[in-house]
Amino acid sequence: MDGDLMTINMGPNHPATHGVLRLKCQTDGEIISGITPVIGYLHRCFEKHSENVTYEQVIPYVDRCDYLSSMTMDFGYVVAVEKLMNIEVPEKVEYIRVVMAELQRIASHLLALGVYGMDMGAFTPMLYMLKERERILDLFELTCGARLLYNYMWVGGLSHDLPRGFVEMTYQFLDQFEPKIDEYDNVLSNNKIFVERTADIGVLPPDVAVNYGVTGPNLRASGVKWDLRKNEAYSIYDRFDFEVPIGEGIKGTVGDCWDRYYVRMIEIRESVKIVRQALAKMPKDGDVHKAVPKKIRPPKGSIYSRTESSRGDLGYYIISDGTPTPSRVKMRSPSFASLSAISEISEGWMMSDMISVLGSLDIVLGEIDR
Amino acid sequence: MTDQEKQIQEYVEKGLSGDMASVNSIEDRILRGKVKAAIVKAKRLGGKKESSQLKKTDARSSTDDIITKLVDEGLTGNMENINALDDRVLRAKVKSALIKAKKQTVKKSDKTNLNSPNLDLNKDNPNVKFAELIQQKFPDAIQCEINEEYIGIKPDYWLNVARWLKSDPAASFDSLQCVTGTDIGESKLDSRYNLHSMKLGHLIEIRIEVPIENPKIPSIEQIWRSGDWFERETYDMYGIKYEGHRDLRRMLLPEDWEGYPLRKDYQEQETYHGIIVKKIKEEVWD
Repeated sequence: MDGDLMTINMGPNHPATHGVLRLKCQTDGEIISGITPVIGYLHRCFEKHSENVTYEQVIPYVDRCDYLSSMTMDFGYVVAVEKLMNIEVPEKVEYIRVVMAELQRIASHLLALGVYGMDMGAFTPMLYMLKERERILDLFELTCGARLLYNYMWVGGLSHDLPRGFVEMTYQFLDQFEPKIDEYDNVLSNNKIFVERTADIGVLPPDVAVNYGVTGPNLRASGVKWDLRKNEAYSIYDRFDFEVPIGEGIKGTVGDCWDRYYVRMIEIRESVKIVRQALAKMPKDGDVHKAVPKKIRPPKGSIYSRTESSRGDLGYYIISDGTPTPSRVKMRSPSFASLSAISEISEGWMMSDMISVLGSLDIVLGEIDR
Repeated sequence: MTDQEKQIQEYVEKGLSGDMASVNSIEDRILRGKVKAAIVKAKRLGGKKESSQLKKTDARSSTDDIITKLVDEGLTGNMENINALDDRVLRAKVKSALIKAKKQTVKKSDKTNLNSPNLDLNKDNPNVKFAELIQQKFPDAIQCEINEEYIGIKPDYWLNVARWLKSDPAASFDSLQCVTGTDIGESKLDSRYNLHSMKLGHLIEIRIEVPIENPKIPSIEQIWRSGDWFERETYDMYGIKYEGHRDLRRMLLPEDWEGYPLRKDYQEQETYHGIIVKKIKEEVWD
């Protein structure tokens, strides 16, 4: 039997694949010697559809690509089209967008961490975290009526102004949420079983991460200080004071699964900081529809614009031929690049560690398959 | 001029002089509507009466004069008079004419660029800077004029240029951000690469053009590992064959799918394993 390889098939439907993903694992005993991911089960022809609808009609499709972080997906798209059209957005819109994007980042990270805990056998933290995520979704529902797919950010503005009482309610939420983060640390981050299963497992060295195009929290966990909100401050992110956390290998090695988990935990704290600052500085008056163009018809040309979504560098390559319909919309999704590195990370680890690696990458299949 | 038109004119003149009671007392609803519409129109034109065709053309030529005058002012940077215009329609017209005029001047300067390259180019722009460096290193590799938007590379040179871009300390493009395929028409496909340097923080765009009948580009999958999946996806959607790719299979579509969906001349296959493939509705938006 020595040296004989066995193929274990995981997915397309498996609770630990976080979506419809199939992994063909080559194993030598219990040790993984290679993984071939098979994707495309959720392919909904986003890019082909985009060629047949107008610029504003693309936004709901974008929502559905990363359904756990729709606000940041919208944000990236509208920023790209606005750059293409040279639209300047009112101050108030910018602040509301940042508040929404950061609340969404918190919600997305909460789900990622909670579900990751569940993958590792800790059920309770997921309930704790989803409870807080619900409150954020309530805030979104209050604002635009939708809890998951918002179509909230429009080119040049927003679909709705903030509802009455939103600012106070958000402050209330943050006040009661912040102490909870320490609670998560106690119940999950420092939990012995959890640490045993994640620390020193699936180490992703920084040069490999960059080579595979891994971005976002996964890259930062490997010790690379790269965050588009800081390095290429789009919108008004240069006005806020926040830190870019990187993996420090507190429980094990830099770039292990625990680091990828913990970077997200610190990012939640940083996002809370940004939301507080944005709420404090937000102008009271202003029309959120003021800069919304009657007809979106960008001049001929192309643009590659990137923003920081919850999962990393989200790039849009948009080609305009001067008509109201985009000639080409390409989405460079962060999860796509992260998943491509899974074989490299998991090689040499046990089969059960692979679940740990997959969970720590926080992929969303909707965004990979588009 | 028919009787009705004469009637309308009379009522419009009455209306404009303030006698709306007689307008409102018109019994024929259609006629009343027409009169009111004409009054609104007349008021919009700055109260100028639309009484005769002659006067109308007069009004038009005078607004044309105003527009050209104001556009000239706007081009020199004086926006005050334009913004001070009371007539909203006129103001919008002036502004749109101004944008048009500006665009034309830009286009003109573009043309001068083509005639005498490297004149107005911003040397700090990474696309310009690296295009010049590539030209020094690989004299025949550049395919098009050096410009600020992208660097066009001939497919035959791409592998060597890519290796140099990654390894040279002044370039050190360690991250391939995105590969976009596109159908640029005239039987040509384009493969576009957005390269980024984490170390030095600059970003460039490479474009490689290939004919649609024989789309072959050397693969850079072994230089930047992220190219592996990006190239597979582009192959899936456009059928560009990346030569030297170790695992060039379809990425998002099933392996036995026919055709390349994002090409502009793509025709859906009629059935797939007995399932009818729905046609994409072509709609024209305007």
